[in-house]
Amino acid sequence: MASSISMQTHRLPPAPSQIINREKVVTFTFEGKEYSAYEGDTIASALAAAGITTFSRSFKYHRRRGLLCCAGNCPNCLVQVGEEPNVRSCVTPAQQGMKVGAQNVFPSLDVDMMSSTQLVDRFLPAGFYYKAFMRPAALWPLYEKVLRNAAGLGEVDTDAQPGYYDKVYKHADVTVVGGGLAGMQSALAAADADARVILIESEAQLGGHLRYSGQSRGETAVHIQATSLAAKVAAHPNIEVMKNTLAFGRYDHNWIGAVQGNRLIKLRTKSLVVATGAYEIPPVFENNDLPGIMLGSAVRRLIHLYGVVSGTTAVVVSANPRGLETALKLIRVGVKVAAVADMRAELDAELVAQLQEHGVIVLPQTTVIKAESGMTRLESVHLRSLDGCHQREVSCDLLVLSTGFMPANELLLQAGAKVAWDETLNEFVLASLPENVFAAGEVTGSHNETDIVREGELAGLQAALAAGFDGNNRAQSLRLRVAPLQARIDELQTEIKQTREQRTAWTAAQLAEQAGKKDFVCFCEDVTSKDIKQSIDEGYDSMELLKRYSTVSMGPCQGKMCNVNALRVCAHYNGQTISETGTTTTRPPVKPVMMGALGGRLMEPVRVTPMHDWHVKRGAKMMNAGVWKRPEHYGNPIEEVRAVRERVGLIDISTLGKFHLHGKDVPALLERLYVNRWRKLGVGRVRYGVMLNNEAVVMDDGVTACLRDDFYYMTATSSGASSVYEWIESWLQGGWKLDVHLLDATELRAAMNLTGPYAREVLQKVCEGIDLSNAAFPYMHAREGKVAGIDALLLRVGFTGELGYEIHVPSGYGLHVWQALMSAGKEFGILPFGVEAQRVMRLEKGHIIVGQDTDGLSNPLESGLEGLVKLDKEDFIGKTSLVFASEYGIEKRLVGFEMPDGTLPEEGNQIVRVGNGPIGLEIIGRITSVRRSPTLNKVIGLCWLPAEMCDVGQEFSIRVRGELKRGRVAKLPFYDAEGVRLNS
Amino acid sequence: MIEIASPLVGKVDLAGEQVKLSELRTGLLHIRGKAAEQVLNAAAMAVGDVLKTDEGLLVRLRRDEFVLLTEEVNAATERIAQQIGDQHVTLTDITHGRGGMTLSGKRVNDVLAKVCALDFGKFVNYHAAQSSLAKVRALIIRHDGGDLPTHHIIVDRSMAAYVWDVVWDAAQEFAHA
Ligand code: FES
Ligand code: FES
Repeated sequence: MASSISMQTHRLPPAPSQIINREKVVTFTFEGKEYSAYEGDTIASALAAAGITTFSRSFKYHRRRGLLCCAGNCPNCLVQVGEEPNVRSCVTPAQQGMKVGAQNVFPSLDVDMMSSTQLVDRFLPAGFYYKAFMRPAALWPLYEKVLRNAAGLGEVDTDAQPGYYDKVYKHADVTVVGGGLAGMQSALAAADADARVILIESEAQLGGHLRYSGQSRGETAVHIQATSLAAKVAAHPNIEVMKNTLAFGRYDHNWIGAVQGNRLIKLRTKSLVVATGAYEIPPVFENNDLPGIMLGSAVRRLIHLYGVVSGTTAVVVSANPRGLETALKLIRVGVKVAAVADMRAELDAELVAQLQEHGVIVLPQTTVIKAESGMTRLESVHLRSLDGCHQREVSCDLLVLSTGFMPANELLLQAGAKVAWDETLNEFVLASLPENVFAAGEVTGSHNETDIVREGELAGLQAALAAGFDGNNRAQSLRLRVAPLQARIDELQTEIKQTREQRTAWTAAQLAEQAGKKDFVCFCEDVTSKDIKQSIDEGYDSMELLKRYSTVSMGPCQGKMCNVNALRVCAHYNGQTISETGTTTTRPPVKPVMMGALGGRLMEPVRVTPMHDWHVKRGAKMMNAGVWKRPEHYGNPIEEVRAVRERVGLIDISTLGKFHLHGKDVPALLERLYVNRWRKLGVGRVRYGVMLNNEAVVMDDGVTACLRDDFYYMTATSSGASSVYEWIESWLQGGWKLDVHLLDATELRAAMNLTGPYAREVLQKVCEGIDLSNAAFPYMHAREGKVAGIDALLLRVGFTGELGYEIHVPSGYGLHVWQALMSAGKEFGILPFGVEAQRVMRLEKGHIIVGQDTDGLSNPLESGLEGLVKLDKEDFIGKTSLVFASEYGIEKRLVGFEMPDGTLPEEGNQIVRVGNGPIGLEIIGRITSVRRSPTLNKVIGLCWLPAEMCDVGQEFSIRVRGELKRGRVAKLPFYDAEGVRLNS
Repeated sequence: MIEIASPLVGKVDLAGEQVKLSELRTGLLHIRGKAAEQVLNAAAMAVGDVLKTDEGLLVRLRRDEFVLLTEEVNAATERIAQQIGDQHVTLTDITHGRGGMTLSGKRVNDVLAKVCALDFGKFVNYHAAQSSLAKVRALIIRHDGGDLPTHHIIVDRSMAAYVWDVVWDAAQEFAHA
C-alpha cells in the first residue's frame, strides 16, 4: 500500500475546493498495475496523480491519447472496467478492487502495433471502407472478419449476469437541468415563486464551473459563492436536488428522460429550464491530440477538485479571460508557464500584468499551429502570430487550450429550439425557444458571471409563471398576482438585452486552414481536416452527408468536441458561412446511457390461477400462455389423453375470458357481435359463437349462456379475453345505445372442465341442486347449483369431445372445488390434464384454435365455420365484408389432414408444389396444428390449402425438415363424428 | 363456512419503520349504471373521490361506476338493491376477483413513484385513481391511517402475487431508510 501511495507524484497540497478525502485510500489496477486513489478521486484523477499520461489509443490510427476534457465529454479516457466497456474514467469514481484496462490496444497500451497504421494513412482516407472492401465479392467473409475485429471499442462480457436496474417516475412544476450558477439561480427563483422544483445535476456537487474556476477576484470568494448558493438550494423546501443524474433526453410535452446510476427517471415537468453550460472545445492544429494537450477547464478541474497537476512546464493558448486565469493558477501551484499565446488583440490588462510579474511571456494575436512529441507525450509547441509574421517553438510538457466553447444545448435542440451562428461571438446562440422551455447561462452564449446570474433568475421566474406559479397570495386575482412577477421579468429582460448587445467573443475565430498533418477535427473517429476536404471534393459537401461519409461527429462523444470545428472546416472548403452550412440533428441520449438502465426494473406481469400452487406441487410443467402460467402437462400428456378418453380428467380453464352481460338488450348485442342467431336462446341454454372484426376476420370464439332474460354469461379465449372486452365495450360506448352493462368476470371465477365418460359420476358425488341426467341437463345447457358446497355455474360443453362439464365457481373457492373433484374422482382414476392433452383432443375433434389455426386474414367461410354463419341475419359486425368475400369466391380453406407415412411435421411447415420459388418450389399453404393422436394412432392436423385442393383424399407435399413428405386431406372430425360421446 | 383463499398466501408483511406493506382483506361491491349516483346518494362525489360511509369506503370510478369496500358485501347488496327499483343498476360482488394490499408509512410516495406514473405528490387523502401500476391495471385508494400516508392497492386476483412482489421489492430501499 505504501509504495502505491508514494506513486502519487503529481498530487498538490490540500485546498478547500478539493473533493478528495485523503484519509481514505482505495487501490485498483490499471493495465495490471496497482494504483492508489483517495476517496472522491475519479479513476483518471488517480492515474494522473501517479503521472499517467496515456489513457487510450485512438480508434483508427491507434495514436496515444491523454486526458483532454476531464468532464466526460470526449473519447480520450475511455477504459474497460471489469465487464463494462467504454467507461469514462475522468468521471467514474475510483473504487476499491476495480480492474481497469485500456481498450482498442494490440497488444498493450504502451506498445500498440496497430499504431503503425498512421504510416500508411494515405491508403486509409475518409470513407476508405466504402471503397476498399467492395471487391472481389468473394472476399467479403474475410473483410467482414477484419472489419468486425476493428469495429467497436471494448469487450462485452457475454457471460455477464443481468444487473439490477430500477425506474422511478417524477413530477415537477419546474425542472432545471444543470446545477451551476445559472441553474441554481433559476431553481431558487422558481422555488421562491412556490413552484415545485427539481434540479438535476450530472456531477456529485452543485456549483458548475464555480467549483474550479479560480477566477481573478479570488478563489476563496468563488468557492464560498458556490457553496453558499448550493446550501441555499439544498435547504429550500420546494427544491429537490438530484445529483449524479444525467438528463439524457427531452421528449414531447416536457417529458424528460434521466438516469441516476442504475436508475431510469421518467420526469414530467410543466416547465423546463436548461442551464447545462457549454463544452470547452479544442482548436484544430497539427498533432492536436498528443497526450499533454488539455483543455483549460480540464486542467482547472484536476487542480481544484482533485489536487492534481499534469505537467511541469506549460504553454497556455487562450482566447478568453479563463485562459489567462488558468495560467496564473498554474504558476500558483508551481508549474512553470513558458508562454501564454492569446488570439485576441486586446487582453485583460490586469491579468496580463500579473502574468508578466511572474516573468511569463504573453503573446497577443498568437495561436498554436503545431505540437511535437517525444516517445510518449508532448515536448514542444509551435506558436505563430495570426498575421504569420512571427513563429517560435516553445518546449513544454503541458499545452493548455482555452480557445472556445460550444453550448451544451442538446436538450434545447431536442425540444425544438433554434440556434443561430453569431459571427461576432464565434458561437452558436439561441434564436428561439419552444413554449415552456427556457435557457440560462453559458448555454445561451453568456460567459460573464453577472449575466449568468441575471439569466438564471429570469429563466426561473419565467418557468414558474409558465407553470402557473407566482409566489404571491393565491387569493388574489391572477392579474394582480402576476403583475409584480412580470415587472421583475421585464426589468431583467431589458438588462439582459443590453448586456447581450455588448457581449464580446470568448471563442477564437480559428485559422480556417492549418495545412498541417494529423490535425484532428474529430478525435473519436480520427478525422482530420484533410479528410473533410477530401470528402467535400468527392461531393459530400452538405453537413449531413459529410457526417455520414467521413463519420465526423459520429463517435462516442457524438460531436461534442468536433461539431463546431467540423462546421468551420466544412464552411471554409465550401466557401460558405457557418450559418449557410447549417447543423446536424441532435437526438437523445445526450451522453451514452446503459441499455439496462433504459430497460429499468424487470417488471413482467405474471397471472396465476387460484389452483396454481396445486399444479406446481403436483409437478406440472408450467408454460406461458400470454402472461398466464398454465400447466402444459403433469409429466405424461399421452396418459392424460387416455385418462380423459377412457375414464375422467380435470383441467384448469380459469384463464378463459368470462363476461357478465346485464340488461334487456343483451340478445340484440349478441346478434350484432356473433355471426349466428341469438334472439331465441332460452334461459338455461348455451350456444357457441364466433366474432368477426369489421373486415370479417375471425376475432374470437366462445360460448354464451343465458342465465336469466337479462343476464348472460359469455366466455372468450384466454388470449382474446382483454381484446374482446375492449371490443364489446367500445361498441357499447360507440353509439349503439343498447341497455347493456358489460363486466369482465375473468378474475371473479375459477373454472375447470371435468370431462370423460365418468364425469357425471364424479360430479354427482359433490354436486347438489342439479339433476345431472342427460335428459335434465343435456349438452349445450347451463345449470346453477352447488359443487362441494360452493355456488357454481355449470356449462355442459366440451372441447375434448367427451361428456364434459365446465364448472365456474368464485375464484377464492377455486382450489377448494378443484380438490373436492380430484378426491371424488379418485375411485374413477381421475387425472389432472394440461394444455397439451387438451390440444391433442380438440384436434382429434377438429376444433380450431382462433389465432393458431386462423390468422389476421382468415374469414369464417374459409376457416371451416361456414355452417355457423347466417348471412341472412339483419346485420352483424363484419357482415358487409363477408358478403363481399363470399361473392368473390373462396380461394383457400382450412382442412383436416393425415400423414399416410406417419411423419410428424412441425406446425408452420410449408405446403408446396413445383413452381417458381427460390428452390423450384412454390408455397401454397401451411400446417397450423399437428399431433400424433394417441387415440387414433396416426398423425393428424389442420392446414391451409388452395380451395381446389381440399377434396377428401387429395394428396399434397409438405416440406418437413428440408424433405418433401406427402399429406392427405381428411374428413373432420377425426374422432366421434356423430358426437355420441359428447351427448351421452 | 369455507374461507375465501387469499391470492397472497405465503407472502410476508413488510414492517419497515418508514414503509409497511400488508394484505388488504375486504369485500368489494361493484355498482354500475347511470342511476348509480342517485341510488347511492353520491351526486356530490367527483370521479376519484372516496367517501367514508357506515358500510365502508365508497369510491367513484367513473360517472356510472362505483366500488364499495366493505366487510359486509351481502348486507350492502341487499340494502342498495332496495333503492334501485326499476332502474338499470347492476350490483356485482367482485371480492373474489381482486387481491389487495395496503402500503403505509412516511416513504410510501417514494415507493409508489417506482411502480406507477401518477403524481403522488398531489394524491390527497380520500382520493382514488385507476392507473397502470407495475404494468398492470390497479385501483389506488388513499385512506390515511392516523398521520401516516396510507394507500390501498387493489389489482386483479391473478396478478396480486406478482404486484406484491414488485411493490415489496420497490419498498426495500426505503423500508428502514
Ligand atoms: S477526458 Fe474523460 S471524457 Fe474527456
Ligand atoms: S470528437 Fe467525438 S465525435 Fe468527433
